[in-house]
Amino acid sequence: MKVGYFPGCSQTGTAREYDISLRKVVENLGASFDEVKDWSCCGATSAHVTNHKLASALAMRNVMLAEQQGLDDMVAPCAACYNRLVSSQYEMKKHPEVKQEVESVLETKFQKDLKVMNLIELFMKIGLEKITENRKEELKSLNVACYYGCLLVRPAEITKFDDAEQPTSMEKLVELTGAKTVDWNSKVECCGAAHSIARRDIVVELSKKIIDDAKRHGANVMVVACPMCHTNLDMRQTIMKRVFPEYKEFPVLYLTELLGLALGMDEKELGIDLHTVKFNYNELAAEKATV
Amino acid sequence: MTCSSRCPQEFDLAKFMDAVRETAIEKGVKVKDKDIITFHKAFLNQIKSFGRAYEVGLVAEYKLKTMHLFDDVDSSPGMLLKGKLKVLPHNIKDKESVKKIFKKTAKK
Repeated sequence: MKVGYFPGCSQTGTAREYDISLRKVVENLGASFDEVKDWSCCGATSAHVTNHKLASALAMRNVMLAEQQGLDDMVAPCAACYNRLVSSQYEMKKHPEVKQEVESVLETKFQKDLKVMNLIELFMKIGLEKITENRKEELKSLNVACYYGCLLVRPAEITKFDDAEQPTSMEKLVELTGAKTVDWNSKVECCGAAHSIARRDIVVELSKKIIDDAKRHGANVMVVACPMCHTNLDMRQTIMKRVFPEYKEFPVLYLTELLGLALGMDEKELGIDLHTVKFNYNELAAEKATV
Repeated sequence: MTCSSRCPQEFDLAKFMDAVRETAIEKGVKVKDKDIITFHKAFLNQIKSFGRAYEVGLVAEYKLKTMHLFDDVDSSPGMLLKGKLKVLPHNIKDKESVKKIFKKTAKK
């Protein structure tokens, strides 16, 4: 099975372990990627909060390239890119004048209706049974808090995916690895998103609340599907430790890394050693057994 | 997105806020917290120049404009070593097409 791939800027740098683990897992499950050639930034937060025309055109340039390449669908593993792409498509469908505007900027006509998938939809397309069939490790020692953030399932009328308040699709995937999932309150709360640099204080406060809630509900790891959330929840723990001396580190994994571990790959192969907070499954399992 | 998806009147507050911000920028409204808009402008400048985000350029421009020179000095060296921050920008081939998008959507 061949699937279109729009990596997004983070996958080439700050979240390169997300790209590494995603490619390995997809290959292991018998699928392959057709990367959108010469893709560019989706515009991210900075475009849509300052200039809506620019935001739509930057996002749709990539949909245009994917369509010209003959793709019918593509995955955008970054929840923020995914959201920008599906929102721009939605705006164009709903408002003919927006469609006209974007087409005039890009000097093109959109004929097809390319399907943009988020990470979970990708695995649904590949087939959840493939994960069970290829599983090498049962990750029994993990109690996972599945974190969706605010962009993966919202707004419901645009993403048309799962439930906007109580999503469960990630739990279903995670449970295929043999791990347990916890019921908790913060799975769709915001981590502070693009304020990571300009307002670190907000990000640290929001992200710590999310981590504290996961801990309170018995989780020993959090799983995410967004590079921006990962930066805030993993890297910003350095500041949490500095500001709150009693703060205890908490590992945050990409969903693809968790799947990779279940498929028999090790931490180094998956790029987990690139995280700020260290994670090693065997060490955690041994620690849990002695408690 | 939380406020938009929870509003019982289905009012899209997030989109409304985007529109307010865009209008405020157009009208040159003075804001108290300038760092946020400085960040967004620096981010978009990288996209305009290279087609993709370039973190080192973004941070350099942001720091110089806000004079927050020593923020994140603890995390940046580690990220460079891990290959998470690239010293050179990621250039796309057809940079002109992206520049053109900026030009055609620029505010008069």
